[in-house]
Amino acid sequence: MEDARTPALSIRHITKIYGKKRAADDVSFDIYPGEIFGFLGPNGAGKTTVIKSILGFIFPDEGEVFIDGHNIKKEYEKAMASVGGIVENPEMYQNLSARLNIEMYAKLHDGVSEEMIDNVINEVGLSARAKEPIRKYSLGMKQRIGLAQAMVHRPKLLILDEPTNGLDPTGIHQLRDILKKYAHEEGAAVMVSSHILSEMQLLCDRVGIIDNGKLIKVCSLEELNDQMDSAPGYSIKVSDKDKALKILEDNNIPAKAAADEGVIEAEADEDKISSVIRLLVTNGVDIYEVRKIQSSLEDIFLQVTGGGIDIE
Amino acid sequence: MNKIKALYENEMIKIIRRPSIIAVLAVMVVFSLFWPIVLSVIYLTQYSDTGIDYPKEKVENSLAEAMFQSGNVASLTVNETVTIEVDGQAKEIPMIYYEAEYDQIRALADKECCEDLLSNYDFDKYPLGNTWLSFKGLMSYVTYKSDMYQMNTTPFEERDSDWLKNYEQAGMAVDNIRKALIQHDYESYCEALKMHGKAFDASEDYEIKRVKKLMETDPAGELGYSEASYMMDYLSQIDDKKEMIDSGLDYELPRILTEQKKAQLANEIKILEYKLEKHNAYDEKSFAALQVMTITRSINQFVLVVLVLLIAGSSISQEMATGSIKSLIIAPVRRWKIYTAKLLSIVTWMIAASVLMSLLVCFSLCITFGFSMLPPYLYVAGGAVVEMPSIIFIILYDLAKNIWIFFYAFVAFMISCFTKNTGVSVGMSVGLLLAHTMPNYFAETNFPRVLLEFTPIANMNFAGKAFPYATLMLAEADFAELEEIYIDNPMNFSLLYCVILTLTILFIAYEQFTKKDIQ
Repeated sequence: MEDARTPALSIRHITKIYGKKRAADDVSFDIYPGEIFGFLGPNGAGKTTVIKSILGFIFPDEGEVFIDGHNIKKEYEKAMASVGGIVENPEMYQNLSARLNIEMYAKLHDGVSEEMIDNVINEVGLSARAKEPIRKYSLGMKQRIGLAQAMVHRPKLLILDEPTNGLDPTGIHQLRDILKKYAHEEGAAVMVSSHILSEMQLLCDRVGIIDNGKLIKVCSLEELNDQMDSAPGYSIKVSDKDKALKILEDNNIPAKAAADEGVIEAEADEDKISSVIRLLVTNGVDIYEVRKIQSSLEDIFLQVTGGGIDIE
Repeated sequence: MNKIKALYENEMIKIIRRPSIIAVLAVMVVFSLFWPIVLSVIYLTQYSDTGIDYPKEKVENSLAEAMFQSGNVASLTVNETVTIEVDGQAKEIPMIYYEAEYDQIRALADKECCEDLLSNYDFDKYPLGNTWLSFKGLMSYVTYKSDMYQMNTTPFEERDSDWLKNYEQAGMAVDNIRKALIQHDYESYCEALKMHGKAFDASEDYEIKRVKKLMETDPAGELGYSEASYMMDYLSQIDDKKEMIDSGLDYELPRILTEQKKAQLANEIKILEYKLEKHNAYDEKSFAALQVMTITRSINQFVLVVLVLLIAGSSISQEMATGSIKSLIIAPVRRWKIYTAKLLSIVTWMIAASVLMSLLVCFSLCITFGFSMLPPYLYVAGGAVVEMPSIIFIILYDLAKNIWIFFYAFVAFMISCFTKNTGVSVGMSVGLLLAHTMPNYFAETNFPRVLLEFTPIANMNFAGKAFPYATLMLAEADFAELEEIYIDNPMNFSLLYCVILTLTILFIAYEQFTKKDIQ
């Protein structure tokens, strides 16, 4: 995706080697203001290595990172002033109150007012409990207050690692609203990694897929959806699985038994499915349910990465 | 600078809000207030009887007790015709033989002394025990009499001319000490010392010299016990130091006196003379206050060790372990600023904890001993003796004394940059700190001395170096600590050594913290 605007984040040929393992191998991508970027990869793919390289936790062996046009090697403080984030879990000072935690963090940024702190705590719905020490917080509350801390200085780039971890469905919904509003209305760039891929489908504008340290694919959600839709086939719940498969085989319609009892999967598009149903019914097979098979992000991910791996 | 200031403020908040730090601080406050109170009660009750108040009733009680105890003297033989050969001639003297245990003899002597005093001593003119002379006289009178009676347990057939000579000397010693006590006379006291020394084959010259000096200052024998004891102590110290300067030998080590040591000894003499002149710190209470302070400091040092090692040792490792370091790394501050702020906060805490400890101890000492009981520190500047107020001295002295703890706190800080485990950083630095005195053991063997000179213990006695005259004030209690150090390098070398070592440790910590990946 070409864009004339200055990327909020630009990664150029990031490589990080641990011993013989290339945890990140020549990774390059850009994230633009106003978009939510999903970062996908299985365990050990190099996702966290890339995020940590962006946020100054680790020093890459090669490559450069630009945040809001500032090279983090040369203009570290300027670059970091434009970024906020949560890496892995939001870890704060347990004995201090949520508000004090955020105040301490805000002190390190220029131009963060008391009002901004109040607003962001309010935004994540923790105003009533902001004076309680973090140790009394549940994981979900910690996620929310972590988000508040990451956003308090209204960074141009927000990087969140597994932000839905520990959140209940309502919390996930609220988070999605906050992030969408932040990216689409305030024009910030948001980078999210999550293992709940359905969330990514609901949240992201673009995704990047990484495996074995290499960035395999970067595409928009539309491209991804097209790929999902292109997956053909229907699952059909029938009264006699074997008989149904035999009838379809005799009529040269590719089909296979599904894992569920009484369910078969037939390769057919929208035009053909009505004739398949008619064929089965006229041959004495009762049909209880017909459903279009949609390939999930997992399927696509498995296709892209070669399959057989755990999805993070 | 603003970023460092903000980080520094955050660090201070984090430290003061940590439950473990609050707990250790609470222990420090309790110890600082509790121990001086407990120890002062012990000191004041134990020492209040020393050399004071021996009224007539007490002598009467002692007499009753002695009569009871001596009533069991097994047998008493009076042989009127004992023949002893003296100078080649047979001599007949009336003699007594006791067959009794030491305690019974002692009780017998007690009884006779008490009877004598009750009949002949003027309790109104010289309250017994109130002055140094009457107290020492009383103690010696009983002892000398007891020693003389003890000689009467020698069987008649074993008594020879030497025995007779000693017996006569012992009798003269008893007569003299009685005279010294009843007439309040230093000369007779010295005579008694001389006679007793001759009888018992022990030189009392040193003591006689000290008493004579005391006599010059107090011819009427009116000085109180503790005041006179201190004065004698100062006088003998002055003599010892003068003797060292004259002989050119350092008796303490022993070795040839250096010019520097000579100058120090000369200054010490000046300070002691100043103390004698000003009657500075002559009383028992001041000495007790100093001892209580010294003991309290030793106890509190353990708490200080725990406090500063905990702060320094967990500074980075705990943030790594809990993950809270992330919010620092994500912030727009370079790592050297985080490092600097952490280091500054540790140094602040080290100094603040040491000063707090000193102030707390001073406060509780003032409550228990009174506000003017701590003597000032005396030192020589420009040839004259100068007084430093005790509270300032105690704060500075404690800071200098705690430098070695601070050094190990820096070690803990360095280790904390390498590990995520606070137990490792604190534990390792405590281990090193405990092994700190190990070189002392090697110092007594043939281990190369030059290597020992480069050990921390040989270079961290800054209290001794910065306050060389503190030993004159802190007396025995602190001497014990200083004696632990066999090798003590000069100030300049030690200062350079410590600066280089500390910078090296901090540089290693800096390299590790600013250049390592945070996983």
